[in-house]
Amino acid sequence: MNYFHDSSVILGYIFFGADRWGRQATARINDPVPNHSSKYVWEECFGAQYNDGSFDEGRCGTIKIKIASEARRVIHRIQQNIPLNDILSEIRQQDYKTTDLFRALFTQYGADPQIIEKLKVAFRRFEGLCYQRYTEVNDTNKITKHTRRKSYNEIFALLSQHIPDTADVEIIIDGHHLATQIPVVHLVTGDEGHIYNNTPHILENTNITEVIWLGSP
Amino acid sequence: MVQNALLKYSIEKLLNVANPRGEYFFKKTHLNKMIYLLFLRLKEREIDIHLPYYWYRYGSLVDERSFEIMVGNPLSHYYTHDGSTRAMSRVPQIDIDVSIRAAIDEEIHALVRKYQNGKGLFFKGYLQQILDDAYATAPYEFQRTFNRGLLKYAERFRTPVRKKIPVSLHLQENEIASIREYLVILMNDFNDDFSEIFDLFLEWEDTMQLSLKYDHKIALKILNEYWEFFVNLLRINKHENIPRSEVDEWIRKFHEHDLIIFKKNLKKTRNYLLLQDLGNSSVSEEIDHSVDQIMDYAFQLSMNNRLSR
Repeated sequence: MNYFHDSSVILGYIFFGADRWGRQATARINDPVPNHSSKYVWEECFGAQYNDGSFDEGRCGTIKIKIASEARRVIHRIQQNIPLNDILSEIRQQDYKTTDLFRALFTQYGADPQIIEKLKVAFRRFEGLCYQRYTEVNDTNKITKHTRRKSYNEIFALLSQHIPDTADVEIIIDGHHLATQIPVVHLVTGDEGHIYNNTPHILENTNITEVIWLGSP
Repeated sequence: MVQNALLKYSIEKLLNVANPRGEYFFKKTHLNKMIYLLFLRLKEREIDIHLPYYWYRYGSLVDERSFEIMVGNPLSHYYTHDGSTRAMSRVPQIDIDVSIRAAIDEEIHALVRKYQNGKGLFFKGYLQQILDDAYATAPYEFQRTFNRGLLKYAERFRTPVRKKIPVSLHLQENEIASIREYLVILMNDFNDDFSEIFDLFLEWEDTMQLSLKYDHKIALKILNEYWEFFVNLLRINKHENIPRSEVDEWIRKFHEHDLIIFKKNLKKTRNYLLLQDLGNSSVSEEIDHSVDQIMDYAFQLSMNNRLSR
């Protein structure tokens, strides 16, 4: 048996402390079944470098950077002695992605004289652990990454009738491509709506043997 | 026909007064900063010599490309191969208004005298005074604190001869505290004109704090890297008499090269230090719980709200 992981599993592994799927993704990747994924999944998660030297960060990097940047701005405002409630209003107005997170953290640390140091430690640790996890999956053989060159137009057309997001369809086809080369490939996903709920269509039209949802008991 | 006769006269007269025999004690840096100081003095007398300059790595800097177009010969025409200035024994014969010529002469004599002793000789180490005077007119408090404060302070930790970062460096507690004080001032001095790099500044500042904890050599290295990066935006924000096409070229280079390289290097350094931090800092259950909350939030965002990249 082999696992083919989609981006939700890889992201769950990186953000492993997440209540939702973090621990399940870690358990799947760490169990003894060989792990596989694709270049397409990797670029979606971790970005790519282009010929002109520029690079994009992928979903993982983009979100990590967004959260860490907003946190540093918030900590800076606390250092300027701005009351926490005013900071919350500011970041709500400025449409920070982390407004709800800071509401929760301020409830926890609001009266703590060490709030600045504790927030710094927590956010640095978040960044550090994400990077550590990234090096674990990227710089080792923990997950084998495959490149697909065939387009499988027929399968694409069939699956697209049921799955609106073409990126999801491409990833399923990556799994299918792997399953044409090695036996018994289980597609592991955290995406219930687009992928897991379409298990019958996926099994009917591809060589994938089973679809495993991270939320399954 | 010289496009900018006032500038040509001013620079040649300045050399004639300051260093008529082309001696070693008046070099290109002295000339570069003094022509700027003269430009400011003349502006106060409502005489504009249209000096093309921008603020950069070591303070104000004459833009050589524009200078050559205006004056008809390159700035390097006034230097010799060893960096000294060219002998200018005669007063330039340039047709300009007599009263303006007199005002320029007066300001040049006053400016040069400021750095000379009673015998008409430049005093020892007068370049530092020139640099300080030029920097006193810098448009941003942030750049003054950074260049004349923090960078100058950090100079003392470099190797005495070649001014390189030493092979091993261990700062004392009081030295770390001094650098941290500068960082606090810089945080307060950061100007809105640079808002597009504010997030990067905060990231750099936090990385500096980590390096002061774990690797002092890195602190010196990234201190310099930040300055080298910052000045590329500084010159875009503060310049005079430079053609728009040249500024557009700086803007293009800043976004397509400088920003990318700085981000990439900072990311690499920060990741290294974050791993040091993971290995060295003790963490309570309370912090661990917060980290899980942040990760949960990150995962939700990555799955539900695909951010624009």
